[in-house]
Amino acid sequence: MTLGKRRTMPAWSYLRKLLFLPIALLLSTLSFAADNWNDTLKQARGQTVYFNAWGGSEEVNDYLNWAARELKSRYGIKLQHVKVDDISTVVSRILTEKSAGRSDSGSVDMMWINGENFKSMKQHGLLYGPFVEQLPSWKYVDTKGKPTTLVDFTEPVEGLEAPWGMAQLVFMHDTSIVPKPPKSMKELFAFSQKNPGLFTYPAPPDFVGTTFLKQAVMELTEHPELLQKPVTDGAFDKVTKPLWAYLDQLHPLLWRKGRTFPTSSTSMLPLLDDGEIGFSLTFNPNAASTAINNGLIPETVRTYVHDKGTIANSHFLAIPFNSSSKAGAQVAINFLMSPEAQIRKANPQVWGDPTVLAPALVSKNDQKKFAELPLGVATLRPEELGTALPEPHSSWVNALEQAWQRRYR
Amino acid sequence: MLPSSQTWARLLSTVFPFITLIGTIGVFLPAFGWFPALGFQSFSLEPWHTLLSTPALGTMVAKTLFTGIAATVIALLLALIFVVTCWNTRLWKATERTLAPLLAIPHSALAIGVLFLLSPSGFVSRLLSGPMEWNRPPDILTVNDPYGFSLILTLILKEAPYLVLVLIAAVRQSPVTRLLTVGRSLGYTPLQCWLKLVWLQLYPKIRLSIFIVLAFSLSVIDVSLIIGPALPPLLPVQILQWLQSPNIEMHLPAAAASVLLLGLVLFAAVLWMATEFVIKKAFKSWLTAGYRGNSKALMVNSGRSLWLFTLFTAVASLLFVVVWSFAWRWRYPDILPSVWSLKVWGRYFPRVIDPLFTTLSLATASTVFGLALSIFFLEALPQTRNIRKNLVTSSFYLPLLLPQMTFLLGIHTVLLTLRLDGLWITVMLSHLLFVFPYCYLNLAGFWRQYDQRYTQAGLLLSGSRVKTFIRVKLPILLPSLLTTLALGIAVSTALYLPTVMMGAGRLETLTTEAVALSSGGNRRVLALYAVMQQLLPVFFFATALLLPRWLFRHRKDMLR
Repeated sequence: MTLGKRRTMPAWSYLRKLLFLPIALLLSTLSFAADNWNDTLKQARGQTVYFNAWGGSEEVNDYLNWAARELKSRYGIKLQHVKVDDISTVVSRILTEKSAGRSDSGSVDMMWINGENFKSMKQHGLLYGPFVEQLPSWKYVDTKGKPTTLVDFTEPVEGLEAPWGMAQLVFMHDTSIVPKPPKSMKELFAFSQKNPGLFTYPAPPDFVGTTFLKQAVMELTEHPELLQKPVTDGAFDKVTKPLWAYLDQLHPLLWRKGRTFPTSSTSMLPLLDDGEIGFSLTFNPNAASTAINNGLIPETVRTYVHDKGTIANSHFLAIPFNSSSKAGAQVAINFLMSPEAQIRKANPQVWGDPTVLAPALVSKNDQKKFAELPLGVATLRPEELGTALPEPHSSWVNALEQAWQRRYR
Repeated sequence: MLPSSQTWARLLSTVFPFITLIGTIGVFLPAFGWFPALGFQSFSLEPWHTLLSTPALGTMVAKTLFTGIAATVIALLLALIFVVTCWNTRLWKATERTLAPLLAIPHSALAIGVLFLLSPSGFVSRLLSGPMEWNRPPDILTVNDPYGFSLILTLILKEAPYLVLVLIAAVRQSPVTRLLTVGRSLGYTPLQCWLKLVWLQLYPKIRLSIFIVLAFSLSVIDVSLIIGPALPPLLPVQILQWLQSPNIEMHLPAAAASVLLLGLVLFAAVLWMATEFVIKKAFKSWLTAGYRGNSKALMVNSGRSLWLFTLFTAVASLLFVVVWSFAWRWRYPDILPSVWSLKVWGRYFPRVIDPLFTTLSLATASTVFGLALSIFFLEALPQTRNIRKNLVTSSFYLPLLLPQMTFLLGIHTVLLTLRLDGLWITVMLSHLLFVFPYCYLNLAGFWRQYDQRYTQAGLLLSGSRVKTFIRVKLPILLPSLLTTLALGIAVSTALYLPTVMMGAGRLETLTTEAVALSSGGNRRVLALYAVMQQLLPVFFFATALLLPRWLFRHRKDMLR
């Protein structure tokens, strides 16, 4: 297995990093937050911010359109949503730009990111910052109740990306086809034996598909503690052996007998709508309600989680090191992290993405607005969401994806 | 013409082939490990090792060859059946009229239509659900199937009409009626006349187009993304996925794979030529043996029905796209939407405006350039049939005969180093690379048909080349120019890979958006983009058809 093969970094690059750290520290202690922020606002005016973000969801796109209008009228910033299928393509482009010596006027100013992509960018020094904790909206973030806002897939955030939303793996089921959903991987197998063809999951490396693999391996392995450490060949075989045995048995019972898989979790919605499948899975606990509102899936769809909990994480906003509109990007991020924008985002009629803020930390008025948010018809209450399981170490992602592709493509 | 403009034309005419060749050769460097812009500075065979250890590489290569060749062969057979069975019928006339707008619609829009038609929850399955008593869509692989049958079908629906269009033009240039008369007077059935006399004259005229279709079918990306095999994908899609991988090292095996793709296209072309040779040898005796054949009405009729069916499928799948854009709830097994609504148009149309504008600006700019260059070359290059000129003009078609992925990747490598990617002008020029050959190919035919005596008369009367050109030649050729303009716009509108690669994801066109949305969950919004993709070229073709009628409404002879 060829895991984690990386090119060695030239010595001068290490040297630059060594020099950069004390300078950055010095600058951040010298800064006076308020003055700096006014400067940032001034600089930001008139800038265009190219925001590279996944564009596969109309609700998200609409929300970003709203944010763009507000940023234009309030701060004179033009937020340009560059829709991407997979944000990792953007990471590779920025890496390319860095290798090509393009250290300013990069093609990306802001990106929606987490997990392995964040880790890869952090490792290669592709991120601007730390900047997050200087933003005025930072004080509202629920770092205590939501530790994933500080540690992203076991990788410390260190102010290099701003928490934007919360995610937890949830399953959808159409109650008219599947009245009683299976609540563990074992039950799922038993269910599929009786009702073949109703379940499927997106083909890894789609991130929801990969999360399904992680969820399965967590439930099936006898060595869950190894998942929190960087992957090694020995640990991989040990941990994933029951996973492959499970999938080998499960696949013939899946939709299309496991000969093909959906490309993404959103592409499962039409299948669910037509009753081709009885399930879907998503990282957004509100997705089912939002999709029902938009007429995309039947009103009989509900959400459930596995008994022992499901994987949870946060998603973030980051600024590439070579952005030409860093001020504009910071103002945009600060706005998207503000109570106003977060309340709107959490509304299932808009997008329904759970907030990263602690309602206790925002103003009384905003607290009321958070409390008054409608709970979607198919959305679980916070206590029903169950245990939020931590993500495995990010090195497992690539290993699992590679192994899956070798076996099943 | 002045010698200077001829020299200029000669010089300029080498630019496109040169760029294409640079791209094709350029891709060999990263394929062997050399990509300084990304920090790889030593030659190695490592990219090839990575490529060869890719899971299911053999399957991907075999399926890529299979789908590409099968689509080309079947499309050609269909086109042959069409000319043989439909010559001098109403269907021929009807085809002539409907073909241009059908061809103008981007491949990706058609693929989305076929998806709506054939997927297990698609229209066909809904029609069958009543008699078959299906409550849920059947669990069968009709689209994205591992063998690529749905991909082949989509390619056929698009390429057969293209070959028919080329064949119709070839028929016009050949003495078909005379050949048929001679053949029939010797007692051959019409079918035998077509195969033994006419086809032999037509085939050389459409050979170039066949190789274009072959190269396209082997290296197509957008259609394959929408309706092609997913697990594993075909080779071109895999290359794109590697290029977009967060792991920068994957650029190198991607380059190696695009060299492999070039090899596949060349292999398929050689295979094709070998087959031509074998057929020529094997059928020599059949050709001259004097077998007159007996006429079979059934065969003629089924040939016609087959063509009608092809046209019908293409048009039907496009219509479903329109219906989907007005559907709010349309669950299986409803044959028509249960809730109709304008909500999708009202809510999402504002979002289409930006991509629409980008599409239009790229298309008009590249087409106007392409047209101007074509006219310049047609006027300035010597019109003799010498070998060197043929070499120059046939090199114009290089971008259509080589796999896009290969030379675009090479060009992109250069652009990346020069930091020229992501600019509108770069994308526009990359479109020009494809728009220009189509413009030239199309205009050259009209230029040949143009009766030089008009120009001679004009010269005698005005004494000015420029005046004669502008006041005599251009107006006569105006309808052809407008159709070519529409064609260029259609070509540019349909381009996916050049926009994605050269645009660094910053430029969104209707096509890139539609392809991105095809993996999403909202069929109605996808339909909206696909409808816009259809409307744009159709609008320009309609204008090309109607504008001359209005301009020349007092000059009936101009409208023959």
